[in-house]
Amino acid sequence: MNRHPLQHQNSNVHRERDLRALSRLALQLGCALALCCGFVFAAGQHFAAVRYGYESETLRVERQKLLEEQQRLILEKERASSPARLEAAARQLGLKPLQPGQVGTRKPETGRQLPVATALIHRSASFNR
Amino acid sequence: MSAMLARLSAESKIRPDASIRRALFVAAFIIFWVFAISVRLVYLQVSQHEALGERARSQQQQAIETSSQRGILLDRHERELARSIQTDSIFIDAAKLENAGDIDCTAARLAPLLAVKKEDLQGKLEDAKSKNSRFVWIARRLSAEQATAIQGLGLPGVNFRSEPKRFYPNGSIAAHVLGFVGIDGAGLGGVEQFYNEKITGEPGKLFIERDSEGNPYESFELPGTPGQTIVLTLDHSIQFRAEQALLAAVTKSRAKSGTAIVLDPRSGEILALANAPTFDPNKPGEAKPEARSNWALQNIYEPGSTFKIISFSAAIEKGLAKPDDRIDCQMGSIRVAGRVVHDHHAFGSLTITEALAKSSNVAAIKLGIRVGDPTMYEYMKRFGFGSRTGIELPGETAGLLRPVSRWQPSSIGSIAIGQEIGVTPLQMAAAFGALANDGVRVAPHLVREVRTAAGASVYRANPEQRRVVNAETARALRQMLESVTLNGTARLAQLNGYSAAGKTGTAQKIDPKTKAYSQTKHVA
Repeated sequence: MNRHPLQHQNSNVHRERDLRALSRLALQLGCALALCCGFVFAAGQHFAAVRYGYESETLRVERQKLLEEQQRLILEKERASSPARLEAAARQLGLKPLQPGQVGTRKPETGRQLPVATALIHRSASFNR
Repeated sequence: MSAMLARLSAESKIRPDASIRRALFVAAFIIFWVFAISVRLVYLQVSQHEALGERARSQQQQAIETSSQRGILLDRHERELARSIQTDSIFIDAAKLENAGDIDCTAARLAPLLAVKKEDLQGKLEDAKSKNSRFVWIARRLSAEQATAIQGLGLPGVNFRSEPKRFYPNGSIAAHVLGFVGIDGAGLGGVEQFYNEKITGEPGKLFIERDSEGNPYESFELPGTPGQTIVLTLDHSIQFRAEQALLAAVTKSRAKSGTAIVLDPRSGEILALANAPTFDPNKPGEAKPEARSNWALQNIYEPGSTFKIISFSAAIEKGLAKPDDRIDCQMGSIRVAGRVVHDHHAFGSLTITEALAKSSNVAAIKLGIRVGDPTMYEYMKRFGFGSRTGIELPGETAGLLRPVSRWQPSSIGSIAIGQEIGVTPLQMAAAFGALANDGVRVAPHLVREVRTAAGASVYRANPEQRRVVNAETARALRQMLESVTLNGTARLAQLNGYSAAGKTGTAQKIDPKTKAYSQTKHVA
């Protein structure tokens, strides 16, 4: 490729501003920025998902532990309220077992309905055959 | 791409050829590069999909089978009788035990916490090391205190695994009804065995994603089906009282064993079923086999005089006798087909009611002969003897009732007084229940309801009901049985404040040495 004239003073050459190139560059820059933002957003989503994953896993383990604890407490409650334990505790308090003659049923009074077969822990309520 | 080439072509008029070539070269390189990546991606994602997926899963995912929660057993008032909770078990990974010193140290520190001998544990660890086993159970279903203490030691190669353990909060109460479970969690007795499939449920699966350091960061659970809840007819307070009373009676009479059944005759619901000796289902291994045996339905015995209700019921219902009729008890002796049977006292003339109250063998045999063999057999079947009651417990026996064709001429004399026949206490309780329920026998049962873990009812008891004797006969028998406690052989069974009816019975046991009735051993 030959240039005419061969000797030319470059300092006098003024390049025209190419607006098309500028707009093209701006467009490319915009696209690249949008792409980068997309990548950053996706990465953010990914890391958030991982973080939530760890948190949910911790919560799952915690929930499991709490459920197991709840089961243990229910079991302890049932143990504590078993008849054998209650009887032992009652004896410690000085209570005595109910005797057959101490249990009776009171006939419902007129105008005041009592529950059927109300157990009365009172000797006067007993009856003998 | 085509637009870019068109633009390059348009610009080629003003750009030198070398630039176009360079641009085309770069474009071709990029196209080739993208194409190569695409081909590789297609290869990896289509052809190698399964293999790589499996590899990734094995590296990152862990699939754990979650044991299903065994169902709860409740009494009639919804009080818990059995429940499973998660406990820790420990296993050893022998690959993590570097040398003999590690084994010795591990055994020395674990043994006191597990209450085992150090030598035994050390032997187990050495065996695991010699086989290079990566999973050997050391102790299963530890208490929370033990697990915490062992975790605190931080021993290498000692790993934990969660397993459910069955607990019976009331200890030995209703042990024979509830049963127990084995080390693998399967029911081995009682309701636990009978309803094992329903109580067990289906295991689930837990998929855990782990990072490069092995920390879980995501999980997905395929939930299993929890075991169903069984609501029993038992009342655990009545059961407790029944067991206390039975134990006192067995101790007082120095008996080898005893059985007590509390039955609601109107519904057939069993409120209590107790046996002595008994056991703690939390520690079934510590009990003797005979203590785990459910005498109420797994063993038969000759009922003796309690069986007289059959001949008396049949005779009254067939119009062959009335409660006030008199019967000659022949001064306490009767001969039946060459066999002489005696009364415990020499009775003369008694009313039918008195004969039952005083438990006269002669009167029962005379009524049995009046009734006849086929009718006697029919009434025994009607009352449920010779057949299983269908109770929801394993190992129930049908008893021993021979068909009439196999009876000896003297059989009617024996059967009328409860010999030559084998019954279970449960059959006997159901027979008495029929008389208490105006002649309608309701099949005895132990399960009221079966529910899903969510509480939806999947089964409600609807026991079979059938008329055994008519209501008049049942009422007459009830009054006669009441006289047994008032004036007869069961005066000790009188209750202060309540009416009571019943029948005593004592049968001689067969002596295994002489193969004859023992004079010293009895069933009462």
